[in-house]
Parts: sequence; structure tokens; C-alpha cells
Amino acid sequence: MVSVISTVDTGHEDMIHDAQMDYYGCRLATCSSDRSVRIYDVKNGTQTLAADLRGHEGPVWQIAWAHPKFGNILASCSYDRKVIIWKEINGQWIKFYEYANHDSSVNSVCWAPHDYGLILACGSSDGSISILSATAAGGWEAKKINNAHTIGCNAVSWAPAIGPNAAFDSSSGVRSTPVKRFVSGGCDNLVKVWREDKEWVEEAKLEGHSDWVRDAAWAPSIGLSRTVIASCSQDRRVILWTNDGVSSSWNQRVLHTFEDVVWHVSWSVTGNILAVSGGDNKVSLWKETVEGQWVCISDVNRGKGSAPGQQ
Amino acid sequence: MLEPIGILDSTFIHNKNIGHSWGYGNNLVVFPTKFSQSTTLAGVPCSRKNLFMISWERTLYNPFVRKLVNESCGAFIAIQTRLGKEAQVSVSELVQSSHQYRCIINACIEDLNQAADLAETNEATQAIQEMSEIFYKAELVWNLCEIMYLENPLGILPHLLEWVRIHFPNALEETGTVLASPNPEFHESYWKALYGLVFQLRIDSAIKLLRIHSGFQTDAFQSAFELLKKMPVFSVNSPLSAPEFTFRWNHWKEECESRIHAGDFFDSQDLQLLMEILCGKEEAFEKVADFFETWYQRMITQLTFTHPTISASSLGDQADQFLAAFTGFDDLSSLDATLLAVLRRDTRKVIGEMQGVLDNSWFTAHLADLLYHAGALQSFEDINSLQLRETLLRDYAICLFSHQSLWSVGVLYLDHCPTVGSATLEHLLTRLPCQSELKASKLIALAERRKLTSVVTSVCRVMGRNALKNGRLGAAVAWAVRAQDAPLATYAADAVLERYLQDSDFTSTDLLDSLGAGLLASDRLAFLGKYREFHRLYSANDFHSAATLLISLISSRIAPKYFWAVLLMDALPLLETNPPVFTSDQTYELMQSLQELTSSFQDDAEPIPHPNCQLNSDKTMLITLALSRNLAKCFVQQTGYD
Amino acid sequence: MADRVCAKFVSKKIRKVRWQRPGAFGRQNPECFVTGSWDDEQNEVSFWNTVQPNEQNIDPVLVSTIPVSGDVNDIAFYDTSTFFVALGNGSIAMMRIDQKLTMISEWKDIHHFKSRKAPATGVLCQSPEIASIGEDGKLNLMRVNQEKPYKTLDADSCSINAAVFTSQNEIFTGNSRGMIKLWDLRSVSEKPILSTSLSEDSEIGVTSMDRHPFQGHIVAVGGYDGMLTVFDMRKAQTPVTVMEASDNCLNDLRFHPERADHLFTASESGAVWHWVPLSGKNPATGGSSGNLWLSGDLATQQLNIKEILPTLPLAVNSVDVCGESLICGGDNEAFYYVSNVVF
Repeated sequence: MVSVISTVDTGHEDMIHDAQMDYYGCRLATCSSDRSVRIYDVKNGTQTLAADLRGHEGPVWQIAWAHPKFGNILASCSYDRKVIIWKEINGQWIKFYEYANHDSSVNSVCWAPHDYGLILACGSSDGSISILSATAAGGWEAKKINNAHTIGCNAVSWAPAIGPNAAFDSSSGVRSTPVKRFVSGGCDNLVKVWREDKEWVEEAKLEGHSDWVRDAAWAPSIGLSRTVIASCSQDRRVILWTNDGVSSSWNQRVLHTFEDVVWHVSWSVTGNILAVSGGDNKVSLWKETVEGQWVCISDVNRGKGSAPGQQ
Repeated sequence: MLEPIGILDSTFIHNKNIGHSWGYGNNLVVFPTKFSQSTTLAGVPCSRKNLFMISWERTLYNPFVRKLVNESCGAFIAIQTRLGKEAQVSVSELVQSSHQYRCIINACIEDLNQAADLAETNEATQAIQEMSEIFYKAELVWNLCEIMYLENPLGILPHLLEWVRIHFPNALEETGTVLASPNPEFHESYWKALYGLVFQLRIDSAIKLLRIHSGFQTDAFQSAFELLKKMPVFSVNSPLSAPEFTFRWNHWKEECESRIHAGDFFDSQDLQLLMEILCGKEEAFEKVADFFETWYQRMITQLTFTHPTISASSLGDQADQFLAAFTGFDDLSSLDATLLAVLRRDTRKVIGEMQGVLDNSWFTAHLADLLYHAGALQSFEDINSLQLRETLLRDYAICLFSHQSLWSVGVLYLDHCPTVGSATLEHLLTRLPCQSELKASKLIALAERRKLTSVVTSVCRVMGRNALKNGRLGAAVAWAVRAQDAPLATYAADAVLERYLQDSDFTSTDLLDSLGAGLLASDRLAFLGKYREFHRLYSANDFHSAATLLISLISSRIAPKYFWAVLLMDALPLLETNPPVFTSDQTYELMQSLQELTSSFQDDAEPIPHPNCQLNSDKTMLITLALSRNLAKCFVQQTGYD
Repeated sequence: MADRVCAKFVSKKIRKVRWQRPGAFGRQNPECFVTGSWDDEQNEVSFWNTVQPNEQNIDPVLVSTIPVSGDVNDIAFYDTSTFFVALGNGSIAMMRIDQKLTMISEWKDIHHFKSRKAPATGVLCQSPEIASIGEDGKLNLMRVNQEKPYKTLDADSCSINAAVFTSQNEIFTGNSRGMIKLWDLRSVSEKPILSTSLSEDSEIGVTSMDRHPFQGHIVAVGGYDGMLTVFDMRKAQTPVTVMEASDNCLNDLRFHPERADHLFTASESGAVWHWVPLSGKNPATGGSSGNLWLSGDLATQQLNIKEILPTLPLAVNSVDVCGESLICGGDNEAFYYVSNVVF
């Protein structure tokens, strides 16, 4: 049984493009074509507007919360080719850093796992991906992967810090230093895995989609060696890419072919449920059963069966 | 097949594109959007820009179901504790636990049904009834699993019949209705009720019903009565062995058939049908097909009259045949598929089916655990039974973590996930918002017990930051020390120093003076502690020690540079004493710092927290003067000694 | 183990349970108690009855409930029908039992930080005085019928977790870092008359406190580490007796109101213990010379520990005892009523 528990009137004057809950699920940020980013305090099903951030000169596509250990920090990216990092200081939200080194719309922003420090990946329609890192001196340092995806990059998503081969070192109980990785998806129909090896290098090129890749999401893999990436595309398909954590090969499996373009895929915080939404006016939730099947658990028709003895 | 998840809002009618993002736990934020990233951006103007928070698996959060969650947790932990003490739990103990779980489910169903009756709106009633139905089905499947996997008796049918009796009370209800009518034998359901009783082998009741018929004294009725009375019954506690029973059964059946042939029941079609049913005749069952609500009910009844001693292992094949003949396998509901899987003893399918349906994580977790301990959970090529159990326990725990209060129960289930439990717990605990020290201390206590140090540090850090935001500097220092968070400790110590500059008085002295080794959490905090000590020494008129400490604070560079001016001003009164407390070397040290300070302030644009930290020309003059006077005094003193 | 235990699942985590003391003198058992919940979207204070007309003890029946915002952190009776509730939203509520439960008044937001409310962690009564403590380190003093606290002490840099009246004019407080302070309410100074620490390792916070019912100078203090520490106010710089009461937080502790040699403790690890004196020498009055609780290391040898319940899977947050009746409850969203504690 899926139910609507509350409705938020955002007050945006134009289409909403993204909404993100913070780490604790206590704050909600939204962004819109009206060029603003809004932040709400969410408590017991009610929301109060906490901030209205103005600074972009075009539609704001995506937003991302940094880990709370860095304070309250939000990144936003826009059609205006800019990435803005906002920070709350003494209850006031200020523009903390502005990055304007892309030649076209910036479509996606994603913070790296907090263990690495404050690092943001940004994917742009100019085909490049920028990686911004906060420096000890309080500044920002940018690295850029040019031509990551020809025509444009639509999505970036980081691998969890406790990735394959890098779980607990059982002898010492200390975590070995994991390798930084992220996945990207673009207009070249490709999904690519990137690894930091002093510079950023392309580790894997995943071919499977037959049209623009719209979103890619790296699953949290808590305590497991297996790694899973979900990608979705204008070819109406969602593909799950798995790696066993030992070999370098990726297996692909089509989760489902939908009725319309699939725009968005994302994993729950524990990685056990995948949410998919798109142009078919539907949101669906998927879960892998013990039988190894991916089933749509939001399908309301399942689970209805004749129950004896009850009217 | 894929339904949009129940949002009825006009915004979605005009816009087919849906965006979403995850909230905490079983929550999703859903909104109509436009993904086109082309240059034309004029969206259809729309009056409201709404977002919807949707949630699922909320059944467990219902107040009545929460009782089940907590009570069954006790039963679950009891099994695990017993296992911790003994290598294996006996099957009879597991059956006991299984009974306990079913009792808990039944109590919950009863509570829900009562609540449904009291609900104020139809929708509320319906919602509660749906929940009740989920648990009803769960109990139905559970009970069958208990018979098939745990009890695993040699003679399975009596158990299955008992299961049918419990879950299909309508046979008795119908009889009640018939008996309550003014003229029972003419009631339209008289025979239906009678057959219903026979289907469930409630022979005594069937005979009672037969007796009240006005034709009871006729030969046909008497013959039927005799046969019913003589019918051998293979019951759960039957003293008969299977071959013995079969012998008697065949004998009795032959008699029935011969009486039918002899035309004993020729006068009454209804009796004739009854006797044909007793003989297990397929055509007879066809005639009463509508009297069965479900295929399995019919299967069990029919087997009772055809293969009363059938073994559990043949049930799967029988069930397949029944389904193939009567309903087919298409459009099989999830419940039917699950029951079929249980009869086939296809455990993975049973759990897989239940798992695919929302709101069943309670069921799959507890059942899988029980079956695992009974050795009935098979391993498969790609996943072993332990992992299987763990996956299900974890899913249930994650679901509990989505609730404000039930997360505590979730912790206990993750404790029994040997491979991923600890990592999952770590992940989930750091995301629990903590609004009070009470909750923080509970989280810390449970994390410490499980050696999740990163959770302890994380909670302390967050509490420290909150304390800082709340202006509670002392508490912030205390949390920072606990987390061994040097940056936070420094930040808090700076804040204490800043407040000192403002008020000329220390805040949180009770805490600062009791920190002890905790002061070592950061250099700034250590400085703060030492600076407090300087004040103490000074006010105790121990000027020599105070002076030495002051010098060491500057020369060791433990003092932040912004504070040097304050320290130099603090030195002023000590410089004026006679005989001098600063030695000539110490005075030189101070002079050097003064010089360093005056020169560095020009090029270093470090922000100054308070005007007192500013070294203006008046102050510089004052200090220079005092320093040189002190130096002079030192020389005089030295020459005096010489 | 006691004979008759009734478990009741209430679908809210229980934070505090307190008996309504019987009004008349004599040894009758109490009939009614109050529970408070925490860690939920909507918390509540509930009033339960264990005795129905014409019947003896039965399973407790819910009489009435008042929803409150914020955790119920403490409940203290002022007289036989009036009690105060310390809330997570910084307020102290006054409620009365008069067949049903009614909210009489509220001291709103008397615990607060710079710009937000601070949880009130405790409330204590010594008629006519009422005091409250909170995470903001404040100690408020109030009187019934007064709209505001008549005095507020900035008593601690950290959260004050527990406090008791040791006499009409003195309050003993313990904070989250194990600092123990004694306050003279008549004093004009903002400084405590005594300040010490629960243990040498001052990191161990105080979680609970109770005062000996007859000898106010004896105070038992529970700690995060599960230790039970007894202080004698006449020489309070150092604790007199230290005993291990649990391997985890000691969430609540109560002296038996009449049989003061008996103590009851509830712990984070899910245990509820009854501390039974071994020798029957000390009469129920407990007022005689050598007090068991002040006998230092010997105390452990003179006490036996009985488990009231098998250890529960989750924390027990509170316990209260009156006559032969005991009630306890905790994070497994249930309370347990024992109607015949054996002494």
C-alpha cells in the first residue's frame, strides 16, 4: 500500500526540476525553471520555507546536499552554465563558491562520499565533467575531464567509499583507502565508469543503450562486494550493470522496458530498492527477490488474491 | 502492469513526466516535472507547483500492528538466545515458537477487526480491513508452512483438514444459520450446510443435522446415518497405523458403494449425492464445486475421501493436477501461487512470492528465520540459506528504521545479520536525527556495545555542532572532546575566548576546569585551559608562576596569534611589579613577540575577533615602556646580586 | 521471580512510569499510575487503572490520555492528584487526576537555548517548591499559581540530567559529564555550595537519582556506565558506596517508599532489578543507626539482586514501586505490571 502522506506547495513560479531531502530527512531543497532554489524544514508532515536562494540566471536542473559533517551545504547547477555551492552560516544562506568553467548547461551535480572530503562532480552539456574539491586553505580546486561524453553528459553518480575490494580489513579493523570512482551517462548512449589514478581515467565503457542515457545511479553496497549501477535512457529501458567486485567485467541486465522515456533512476539509502520514473506518468519501485528476480513492488495488483473466510 | 503510485492530483494529468527523489527510509518525494533540456524552456504555466511525499510499507506503523512488531521481536530474540546457548533448537521448540508467532498474528487481526468496526469513516474502515486481510493471509500461509515444514507428519491430511477447519469457519456458521431458522430442513441451505460439515469431516455435527430431518427414520436416512457413524477417521492422534486404517477404510468404502448400488438412497437425491461424496466420486464433487471457496479447500476434501493417507511429498503433484484441471495456472493470484509453492515445498518460491508484495517484510523475515533454524531453508547455487535469511531480516530491519520509534527494534534484527548487519546498522544509525541528548546517549550506548566507533564519533560531532549553534560553548567543548574532534574543539575554544574578550569573564568554567586530559583534544583547547590556569595563578597572587606560564604560552606558540596582544596586555601589571617577576630573558622574549606582532599585523590580514586583539600604537607604546622599565629593574636586581 | 506479571504493549516507547500514591495512610497497594512516552511523532501522557469496581487486581485499563508535543522526560507527583511533566519542548506541564486526566497549566519554554527550545530533562517537587532542570543547564524554581519561575539558576555548562531535593532548601544535581552539584536555594550567589564528580573519570554522565525516603541526606545516583553510587550529603565530596547495577546505562532507580532498604533499578540493557537486603535485621522503617546504603564496600555483600523480569530485548527506561506493586516500561513499547513483589 503506497500512500501520499503530505503535499508541499513549493511556491515555485515554474516547473520543478529536482527535489532533494537532506541526510536526516529533515530538510527539503527544490529547484525550478524559475531560477530559484528553495529550502524547507520538514517536520511531522508540515513544511516551512527556510530559504529562497537566488543566483542562477537560468533554470536550475539539479541540487545536491553535502554530508552534514561539513555543515549545511547545497550545490546547484543550471542552464546558465554555472555551479553554485551554497552554505548556511549563522542561519543565513550565502553563495559559498561559484564555478563557471563550463561552456554549456550543467545538468548534474553529485557529492562524493564524505570520507573523501568535500568533492563535487558536475556533468555538462559541453561533454565535460568537472570535479571540484575543497582545499585545506578554504579554496576550491577544479579538475576537468574533457570530452567525457560527446554531445553532452547528463548524469554523474559516485561509487560508495566502501566499494568492492575495500571493505573492512579484518585484521586491523581499519578501512583500507578506497579508490575514488563515479559513473556518468551521456548523449553518446554510453555509461562510463571513471577512476581516480592521480588523474581521472576512464575505467569502463558500458554499451547497452540505444539512445541518450538520461540518468545513472551507483547503488550503495553496504557490506557487500558486489557493485550495481542502474542506468536509464530515452530508449525506454532501465539497465542494471553488475560487477562482482573481483573481475573488471560488467554484466548487463535489462530491468524493464517502459512505455515511455525513463528519465530518472535512484537507489534507497541502503540500496535495496530502486525507484524509476519517467514520461509514462508513473513511478515504480523495484526490488530483487531471493529468487534473483527484480520485481516491481509498487504494483498494486500484486498481492491481491482470494482471501478465504473474509468478506 | 506498472501502476502509477496512487497520486490523484490534477498536476499529474497535465504533465506526464514525473520526477522523484528519496526521503528518509520508505519515503519518496514525487513531483511533476519537465525534463527537456533544450533551449525552449517555457513550461506550461501552472498555478500550483506541488510536491508529494509518498510512503509505503506503513502497515507496520499502525498502532495495533506495532504491538505485533514489538511482541514478535521478543519471540524472535528468544529463539536466537536459545540458539546462542544450545547448538540446535529442537523441532518441537520451533513449533512452539511458530504457534507463538501465529498467536501474535491472530491477536493483531482481532485488534484490527475491532478497530475497523469502530473506525469513523468508510475509508478508514476499509484501510484497516485491508491490513487485517494482509495478516489473515500471512497467518494462512504461515500455518500451512508450519504443517508442511515443521510438523512434517506422516499422515498429513488430518493436519491440512484442521487447517481448513480453522480458516473456513463458514461450514459451522452456515449450520448455525440453518439451525436457527424456524424449519431447518426446508432451509435452502440445509443440504449445503450438511455437505460443508462432511467436507471438513465434522461427522458428529453432520449426524446431528441429519437427525433433525423429518425423514430421519426412513430407511435411506438410517442407512446413511449408519455409514456415517461407522466411517473410520484418520485423525491427528489416531491410534491406528496407516495400513490398519487403509484396510478398514477400504472395507467401509466397499460397503458404501454396495449400498449405493443396492439403491438404498434412491428416494433422496440429496442423500445419494452425500454418499457419492463419501465415496470420493469425481462427478459428485463436480456437482458441489460451487460449495468450495478455493481450489485447495476442494483438493484437501477430495483427497480426504480418495487418498486419506497421502504423504506430504505427493501433495505438490496433487496440487499441480488440481490446479491444472480446475483453474489453470494463468491469473494465479499471489496467494494461490504462494500456497501452491508451500505444497510443493518450494521454499524459495514461497518467500519470493511474499517478498514481491509490499507490507510483507515482517512475514518473510520471521518465517525465513524459523525455517532456517528448522533446516528447511534450502541453499541455492547463487545464495546460501544463511544469506537468504540475512537478506530478509535486513529488509525488515530497514523498514523498521523508516519509523520514528520502531528503529530500536530494527537494531535487534540487524544484530542477527552476520555479514552485512553491522555495516547496515552503521549506515542507518548515523542518519537518525537526534533532537535530544537522551536520544544521542542511547545511540552512543548501542553503538559502543557494537563497537561502531564511527557512529559514536559522528553522533558526538553532530551534537557538538548543535551545541555550538545553540550557543552552548561548554557543551560543545564536551562533545568535541568526546568525539576527539580537533577542529570542533578549536572552534568551540575560539568561541569561548571570543566571549571572554567581550565579557572579560569566562563562560563554562565548571566544565573547562574539570576537563583534565580532555584539554588535549586540540591545541586551542589546551591553550584555553592553560590561559584559565594563568588567571587562577594570578588571582592567587602567585605572580612568578603566572609570569612563567604566560611566557611559555607565547614562546611555545600554543597561543593563537590573534590572542598575543591580549597576553601582552595581561603581562602589563606583572611588568610593573617590584621586584620584577619576569627575568631579563623572559622580558626579551616578550619584546620579540611584540616586534613580531607589530610587523606581522601589517602584512597579515587575519581577521580579528575583538578590538582587544588589536595592537594599536597606544598599547604598543604602553607595553614597550613597561618592558623596558622591567628590563631596567632586572639589571638593577642582577647587579645587586653581583 | 514474582508470580503475576502483566505485559501490555502500548505502541509508544515508554519513558517514565509513576504510581499515584494512595492518599490515606496504611499499607494498601496503589491503584493507578501514569505513563509518559518518548521518541515518537506524537507523544502522550496516559493514566491507567489496575482496579475496577467490585474487582480485585486486573490488567491495567487505560483511563485517559493527553497528547503532548515533545518527549515526556520526567513525571513527578506534587500531591496525591497533581503531577508535573517535563517535556522535550522545554515546557513543564501541570496535570491533575480527577477521574480523568486534565491539563491544568503549563510553564512554557522555560528551558531554551539561544534561539530554540531546550528539552526539559527533569522536574522535582518538595511542596511548595517545584524545580525543573534541562539540557540548557538551567535550574528553574517555581510555585503553583505563579506564572513564571521565581528564580532561575544558570547551573551548568552541560545538560543537567537528574536532580533531587535533599532538604526543603537544597537541590542536588548531576550532569551529562558526571559533575555533581549541591545548590542552596536561599543563597544569593549563583555558585553551588558543593561541586564534585561522580567518579574520577569525569566522563561518566549521571542518568538518574533518587533520595532515601526517610534520610534525605542519602542520595543514590545512577550513571551511564551502569554504576550505582550512593552519596551522603553530610560528607558529599566523595561517594560512600559504589556498586555495579548494570553493564549499561542505569536509566531509573527508586527506593521503596516504605521499605527503604529495598531499591529498584531499570537499565538500558533491558534488566529490572530488585536489590534485597540479605539480613532481615533492618526493619521497614529504615531509620535505625547503621544504614545499609552507607556501608561502603560492605553494602554489596549485604544485598542480593533479584530479577523482576527476564531481561527484555530493549532498554527499560523507568521503574516505580509502591506497596507490593511495581510498574516498569521502556523502548519495546510495553509496560509490565507486577502486582505482588515479594520482599
